Amino acid sequence: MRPIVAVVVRLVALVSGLALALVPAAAAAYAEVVSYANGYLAPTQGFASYTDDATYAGWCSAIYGAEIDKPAGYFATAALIAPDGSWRMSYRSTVSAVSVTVTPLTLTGARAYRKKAYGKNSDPRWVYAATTKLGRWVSNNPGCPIPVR
Amino acid sequence: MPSRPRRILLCVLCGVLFAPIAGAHVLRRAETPSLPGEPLSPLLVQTLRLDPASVRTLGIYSSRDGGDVDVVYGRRVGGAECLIAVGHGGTGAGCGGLFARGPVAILEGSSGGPKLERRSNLEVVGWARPNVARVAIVDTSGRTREAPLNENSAFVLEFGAAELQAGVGPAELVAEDKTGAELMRLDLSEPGS
Repeated sequence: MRPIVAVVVRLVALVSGLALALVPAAAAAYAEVVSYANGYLAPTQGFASYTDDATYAGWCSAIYGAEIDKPAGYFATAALIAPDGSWRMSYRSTVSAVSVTVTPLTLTGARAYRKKAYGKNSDPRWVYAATTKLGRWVSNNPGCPIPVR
Repeated sequence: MPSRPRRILLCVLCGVLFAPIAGAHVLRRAETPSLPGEPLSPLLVQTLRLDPASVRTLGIYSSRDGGDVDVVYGRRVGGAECLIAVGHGGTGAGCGGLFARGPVAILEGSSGGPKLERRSNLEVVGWARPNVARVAIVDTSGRTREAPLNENSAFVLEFGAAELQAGVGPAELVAEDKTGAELMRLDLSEPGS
């Protein structure tokens, strides 16, 4: 009887160990996806971006061409931009915070795009904030092809 | 091993085994698609930080590609109101003062791009205040398109791939009250156009 109990105890311990190893990984992935998808333009921000945006050398041109020159109308834009510069999906809105997510929401999907959110340039404060941050990034990344005004 | 410590050990091991399973169940629940009658999945509600009780469908529209575009309202826990569009394999949300720029809140969504000609679809999604009787969108060819308001004062106006490839997209939105007086005029043109 005792050897059987010992085997059962070891088996339970083994399964428990596996479960413990898997669930925190799933939870971390979930938290990372949600964290990634939660990025948006807050009212006090002129420009919002993610650290991994910097891995795409052409991201600033995509932003520049998309919205910085916009004359009037929309307040903010969010786009999922693939590494080749093409856009998967984008949203513009008259409100200050815009987000875009692809479904199903997976970590792989979230990592496949560089999400951008930025304001339009009709408000000088927003333009200043956007160009200042863009300029700072450009100065640290000489490959960025956009002249900063 | 004496029986009492063995029982305690078994209890601890069982707890260790079942707690993660319960946690994984919570994760699976969050990732499940929306149920019939629920416009957004629990994960989207969580991602957009919405108060689940505030979420309601404003309209469901059939798009030209055969799928649906759901127009949804939701309010964040912090109070910001959101206009949400679900369709074409994605979700867009605009949150803030929905009517700060006029009596029509707009959320424009596109697949593809960034150039208009490279987009496969474009939808102007809107939600109007009750005093708005008519919404029209002037496209870049000068044509005026009516955007019929539904019973919730929501609308979706779609531009198809053929139009977009021809360079035709939204240029301006005009909203009027029931007397025909203009309430709002909004530039919808693309950058550089």
